[in-house]
Amino acid sequence: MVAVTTNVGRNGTEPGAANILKLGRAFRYGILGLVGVFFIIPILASARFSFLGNNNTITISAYTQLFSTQQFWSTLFLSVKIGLGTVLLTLALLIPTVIWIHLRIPKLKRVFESISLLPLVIPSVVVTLGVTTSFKGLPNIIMGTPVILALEYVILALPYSYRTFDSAVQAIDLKTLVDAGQSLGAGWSKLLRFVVLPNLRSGLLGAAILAFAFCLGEFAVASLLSFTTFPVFLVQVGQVAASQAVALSLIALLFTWMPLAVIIIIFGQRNASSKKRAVSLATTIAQEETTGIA
Amino acid sequence: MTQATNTNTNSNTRNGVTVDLIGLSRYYKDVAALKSMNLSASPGELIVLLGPSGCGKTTALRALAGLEALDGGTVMIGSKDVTRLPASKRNIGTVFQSYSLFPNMTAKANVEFGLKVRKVSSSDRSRRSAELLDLIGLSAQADRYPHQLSGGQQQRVALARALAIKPEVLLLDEPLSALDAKVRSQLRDEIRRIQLELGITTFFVTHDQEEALALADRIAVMRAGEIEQIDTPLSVYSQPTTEFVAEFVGNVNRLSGVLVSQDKVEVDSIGPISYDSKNTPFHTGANVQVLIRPEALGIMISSTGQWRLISKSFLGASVKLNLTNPTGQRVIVELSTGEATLIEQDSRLSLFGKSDALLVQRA
Amino acid sequence: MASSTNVGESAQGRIGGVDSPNPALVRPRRGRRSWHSGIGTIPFLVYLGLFLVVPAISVVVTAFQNGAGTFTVSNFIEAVHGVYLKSFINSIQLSFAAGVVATVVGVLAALAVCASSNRIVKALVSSGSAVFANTGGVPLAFSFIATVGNFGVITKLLTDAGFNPYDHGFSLYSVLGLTIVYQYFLIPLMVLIMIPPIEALRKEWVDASSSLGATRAQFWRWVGIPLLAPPILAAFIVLFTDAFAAYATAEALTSGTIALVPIQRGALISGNVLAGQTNLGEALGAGMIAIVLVAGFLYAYVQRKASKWLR
Repeated sequence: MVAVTTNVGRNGTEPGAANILKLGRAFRYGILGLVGVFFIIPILASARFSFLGNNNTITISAYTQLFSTQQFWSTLFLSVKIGLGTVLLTLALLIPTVIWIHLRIPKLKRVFESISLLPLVIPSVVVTLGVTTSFKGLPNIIMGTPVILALEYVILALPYSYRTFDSAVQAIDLKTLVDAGQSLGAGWSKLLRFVVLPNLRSGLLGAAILAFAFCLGEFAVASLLSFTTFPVFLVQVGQVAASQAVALSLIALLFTWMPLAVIIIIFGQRNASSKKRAVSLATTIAQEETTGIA
Repeated sequence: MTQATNTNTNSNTRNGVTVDLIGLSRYYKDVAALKSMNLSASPGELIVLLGPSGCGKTTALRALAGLEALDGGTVMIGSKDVTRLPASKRNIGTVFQSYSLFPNMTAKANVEFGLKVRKVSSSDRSRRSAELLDLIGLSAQADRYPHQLSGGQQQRVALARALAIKPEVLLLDEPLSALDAKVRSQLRDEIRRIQLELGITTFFVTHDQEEALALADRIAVMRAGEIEQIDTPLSVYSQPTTEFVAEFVGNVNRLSGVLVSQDKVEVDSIGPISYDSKNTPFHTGANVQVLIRPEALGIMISSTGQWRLISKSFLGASVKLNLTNPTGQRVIVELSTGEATLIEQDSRLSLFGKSDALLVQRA
Repeated sequence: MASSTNVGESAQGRIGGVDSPNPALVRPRRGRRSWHSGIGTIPFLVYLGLFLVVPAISVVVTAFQNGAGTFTVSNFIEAVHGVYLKSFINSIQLSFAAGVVATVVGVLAALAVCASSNRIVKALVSSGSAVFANTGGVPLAFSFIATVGNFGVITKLLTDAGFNPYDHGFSLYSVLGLTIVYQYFLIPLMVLIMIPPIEALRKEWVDASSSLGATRAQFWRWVGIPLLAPPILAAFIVLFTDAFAAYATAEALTSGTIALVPIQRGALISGNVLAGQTNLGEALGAGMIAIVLVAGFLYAYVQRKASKWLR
């Protein structure tokens, strides 16, 4: 429903924005500079704050104390476990669904994309208690354990993971790829394993990393369902030790940023060559198939 | 189209103006897109700028439109020097390659845009756009948005939009290149019809030689920022001055031979071929390379012939034959379909020159 | 097995696909779409139904019940009174203000990025935006506390310079403070959303308009702004809902000192103080859904009006 991108005209001859806008240099760099400062200051200030000892000395005690806290490791471990579970579930759900949609019901691509945005419409805070009330009857192994968090995070991370994977599938012209593979004699399982999935590697990785990053940062649902995950621990620390909390925040920010930076680099390098690569790969694989049979 | 609108349209346009491009230069870093290019168009003339991509044809057109800065040279429209005028003040209509219609406006609104900018009253605008949409045969589609129009229709609207401002000069930058073959030739003819009707001086950029030959009063063949040859379509095709022009405008066979007299070459494995010898720089007896069009060669079936058929491709009214001989030479010959049916796979063939060679040059 | 006719069809679609599908070029669909073509999406839809739709419905249902499970609208009545009404007003004001600021700054920044021909600047800003747009929650709140909180680094610097912002009406732990903090993820989101439509403005349109005699201002008035308005509006709605639902940052910053819907709700349902309180919490939740839906419909309505040409 909230379709963010428009159809004003994709893949043009040459993006003419630079020519069209002709904004003054001063204006451009002024704006970007100001915005940039706004984004850098909190990071620098946090870093300074976290290293600040008594009487303006520099100390790393905030960090050493954190790392020696048993709960730091246990909550981090819990969040990582939930994150991995979420990633596995997400992929298991997304791969067949998105591929199916692209091959069999391409007309509904947009509909499903909108469906994937639904979790944005229904705020996570709202869903949370819905979960507890509607799943009262579920066995304790699900409701009483962080499993429920992973199950719910799959949904909440969907707007990010779905789009990432969906656009990766979009970019490879799946239909042609599959037709090429099939016409060269590849069966479905080989097709998936050797043609489709390898071409979607970066898309899969992107979806996985986004889902994982989401799990590492999610606070609302975890805290409302009373699980002490990493972000929840962060708030608890914040109530007692400010500099430790800030140090922890910096670590947490880096935790989310680094994987994201990785995806962006991967996605940045893909692009123009991917289509060609995909088609040629399909041919090679299929050749391998036929020679294998012969 | 009704008679009334027809006269109306004509009365709205003055006769064409002259256009002079004098010494146009444009450099991108160190690469010259235009090297001191000169070109003059007489009133009402349609000049096609033809050349491969990167030859500077589009740069020249954009410089004329005022959309591209120049590093040197003068642009004259009529007797007016417009070099320093911005595009918006030049009163030139431009049709772009594709997708240049404003997507947020209907066909009608697109056509009226230039008039709205000029603060023409809305009733006059409506009248003018109705006239032009009629001229291009899209009156029924006036209220459609660009995405509801086919590619050909979009380009018609773009043409109408360019003409709406009664421009002194019309520029078309590969307007047909994104269209299907059939639509392309249809629209090509229509553009020519309208251009002749309005008598407007027109520049048309393309890399398609067939389009150039069909449309132009004169063709300027461009290469590396310079005009290699400018002449009528017939002359460019049948009397190219350079090898580049010969190869770019049509197909050529490249054969070797010996000059036997000042207007005749003895071509290896074929025989004597005449050519139009204006100041040949070679003396009799010199080894030369001969460029000759596929349709300038004739075929005879003869038991002593050395040539054999490799393949035929049927082009409709004519057939292209691929021939080879024992020494491995390859030649393409184009015959009328009727003649070509006689040639069979195992026929022994000999070749002869039916008409003049295009060019004779150093071997 | 995929049928070969479909390949031709998708190729056809692509020809006219730049402006959007071209009815003149798209062949009428011959294939019969029977029920089984959707079969592969069932697991996905079931999962979504189970973990999103069911809870959402149960929120609405519970909102209409009292502690004993009988039907009532009293939760809603209470939800629009007193502190809860205040929290709705605060939340809407906050989201609106934060959304407007981020929209303005974000559009300007996106324009500045797109106007730059420097590839490095472009790459840096767009990847930076992707990263920052996903920042949020508690860590963000803490880093702002370290910056302009009571004892933040910047606060200290300013105080040393003789200007303590907290003496002049500023507080990070206020609606103003939240508005500022939210910019940290809203602006990059806006930049991210706006770069594609700005990049999609075609050079041909500018060329055409100037060769038709239009000035730059006229181009913007009749072409540029009408084309960018729908995506800007759409982006604003996204920012609004994003800000409206933000819980963690607000909770960590204000710990409940400002009445905001998500926080009130969180307190009600996690507190479990009294039976019936959860039902009130659900009423607040239903209210949140309603507001987001209203925003969505508003968006769809205006979009429809503003962009006839997109259909």
